[in-house]
Amino acid sequence: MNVQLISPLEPSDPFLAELARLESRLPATEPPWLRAVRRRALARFGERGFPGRRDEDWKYTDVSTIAERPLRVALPGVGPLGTGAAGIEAGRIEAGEWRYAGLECVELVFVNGHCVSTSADINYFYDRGALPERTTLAPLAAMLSNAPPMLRSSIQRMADAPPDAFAALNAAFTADGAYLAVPDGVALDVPVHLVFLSAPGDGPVASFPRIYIHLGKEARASVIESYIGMDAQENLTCAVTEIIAAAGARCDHYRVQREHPRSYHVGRLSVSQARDSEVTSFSIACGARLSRQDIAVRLEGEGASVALHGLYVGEGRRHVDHHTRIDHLLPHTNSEEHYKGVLDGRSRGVFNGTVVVHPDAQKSEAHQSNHNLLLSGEAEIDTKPELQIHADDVICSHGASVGRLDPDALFYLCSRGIEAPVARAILTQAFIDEVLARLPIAALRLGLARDLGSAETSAELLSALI
Amino acid sequence: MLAVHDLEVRIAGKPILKGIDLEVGSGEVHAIMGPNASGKSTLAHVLAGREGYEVTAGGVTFDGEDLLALSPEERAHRGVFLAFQYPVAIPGVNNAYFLKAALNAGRKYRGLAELDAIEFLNLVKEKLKLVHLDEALLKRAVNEGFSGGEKKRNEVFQMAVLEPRLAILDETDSGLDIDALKLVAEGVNRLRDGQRSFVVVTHYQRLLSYVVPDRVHVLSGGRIVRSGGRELALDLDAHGYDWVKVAAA
Ligand SMILES: Nc1ncnc2c1ncn2[C@@H]1O[C@H](COP(=O)(O)OP(=O)(O)O)[C@@H](O)[C@H]1O
Ligand SMILES: [Mg+2]
Repeated sequence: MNVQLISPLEPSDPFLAELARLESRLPATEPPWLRAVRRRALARFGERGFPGRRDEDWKYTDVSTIAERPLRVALPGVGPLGTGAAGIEAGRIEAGEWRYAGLECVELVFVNGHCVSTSADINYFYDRGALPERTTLAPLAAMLSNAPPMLRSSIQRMADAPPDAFAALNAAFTADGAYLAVPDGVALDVPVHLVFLSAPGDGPVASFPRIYIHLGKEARASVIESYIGMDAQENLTCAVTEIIAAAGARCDHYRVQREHPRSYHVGRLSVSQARDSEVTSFSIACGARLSRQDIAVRLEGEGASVALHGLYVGEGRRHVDHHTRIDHLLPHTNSEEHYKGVLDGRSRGVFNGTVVVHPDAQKSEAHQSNHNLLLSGEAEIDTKPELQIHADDVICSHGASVGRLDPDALFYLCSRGIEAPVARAILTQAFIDEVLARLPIAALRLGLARDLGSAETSAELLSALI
Repeated sequence: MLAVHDLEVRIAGKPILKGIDLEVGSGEVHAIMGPNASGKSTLAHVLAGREGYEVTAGGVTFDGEDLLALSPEERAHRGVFLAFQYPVAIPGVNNAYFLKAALNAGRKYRGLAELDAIEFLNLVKEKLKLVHLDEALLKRAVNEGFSGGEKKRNEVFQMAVLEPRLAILDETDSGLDIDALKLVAEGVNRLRDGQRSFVVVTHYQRLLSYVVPDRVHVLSGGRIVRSGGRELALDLDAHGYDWVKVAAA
């Protein structure tokens, strides 16, 4: 394909120059198709540019601060760790301050999108049996020179038909990430924890990790993606995850976004599900200055079911946006979605949950809820359920609410001697706990409860009771 | 200990309490009786520090300190406790967690070491027996899905754990059968030590046969229209409130 013909970008375009700068650092073994794909993706991006307020999907989320600043892609092979990170010491990687106490897992660590775990690190998990032999877990960079056909078509698809500008940018600039393929009938005993650390380079940098998860028939896996800001200032993380679940597969996916309060985070999760597969997603967003999370699920086989759980926490001037879309394409597909938000200070939350029940999706069920707690007079939430139902024999429901802490409950707690700020924290925690209680991994549940501000969680006391 | 003088309170501009005088000495039990809507709960709430009440005249001191200037939690730290007529359900807040936070907040105020989970559980298990509540109740959310009787006993249970210096019981006996009523009475009587004081708001004299009051006051139309010894409660039971209203007119 002639790249010049479809590219509306000027040869002098800074993004093209940035791509050339990135590629000069990438291994010469990268196949030509991949380099062509990157240029096609950049062309797709160039056609429309960053979304503006007139794009319905971005009405409440202004990305001009991202659009207006120069793009500096974090390069591999630069900095003390070869990661484009100037400000992170190897010791901090060893210390693993992001780990969840007591969580047994397989861990891959990335700095600014580039994997810093070695093949020896990964082999350790194979040797211990934490990763079954026929399962492949590898840095994406290691898979690209000889990409399996499914991976290759996924990369091409995202480049040629990117769902939005950020997906196009990710397709253009991604050079690493994670690849997990679990063969038919294989179950992983422990979760895979993908840790994405964001650290300053010689200025703010942008990282574009890509995560590809393929579960064979009846395969099972849990994957945790943690996005952690380490003094990362105004970095941009733009991540794309794809989950493909074959018939009867089961995937639990956890996404924890705890970026630096001055940074930007845009993430996309695309899920396609075959017959009788089950996917559960938890999206926890409690960091960044501006974050946007898109989740798109396609229920493509009869009996497929998905549950999307989410929690967003806003404080200061944070902007936190979740857009989800679930397509019910075939009969007997089920979805449930429960998102909650807590917004304090002058933060702003956006929740948009679209569910499309297609004409063929009879006997399907879709339930959605979005409940928000505003802790200050200046915090705001825009919540919009969007149910598009094109089949008649279906059960659908949705509910949204925006509320404040119950003054009667506050008075009750204070009348027993609990200080007002503690009483507010207890009630807020109760609101949050409802989401955390659904997390099936106890270590993650406790770790997140602690991260979200309760010194001693009720869960700990409860375990003492039992 | 507690001195209410000429207290006038309005809700949304409407006068509800119209000049209350009440002195409760150390170790005393005072009963407040009176018809519905006479202002009993309003008085209880104002003493505990609930918002939404406008004090237009008079005042309240507790051990000589201006009680109305204190926040609800400061009042609790001084030893004021209100057993609510309608305890609020708080979904998601574990009962044990809540009570431990309350107990330790008070201990911290008094300069005592906070109790850890085990010490706390040992303490509360004793107190649960007192009100015949099941331990399972500790694992539930505060008052959520509690029956009317369980809510009332939970209030008495909290009182037993927090050991207040002045407990105000707002119709804690309403809707209880005789056995539950005896448990409530026992909860109060066990705490009586000659120092602690009680203000018991009730409709019926039946609680007062178990918790014997030093003084009985009749609140009607926002005023204390009559005060007397425990025999006043018996008279009220026999004749209803009409005769006190007439007497007050
Ligand atoms: N929040 C409120 N807003 C308006 N009126 C109230 C409120 N609370 C109580 N009142 C009124 O104050 C009066 C006294 O109520 P209350 O103190 O609850 O009486 P009691 O406990 O003696 O039955 C009643 O007329 C009641 O309707
Ligand atoms: Mg009342």
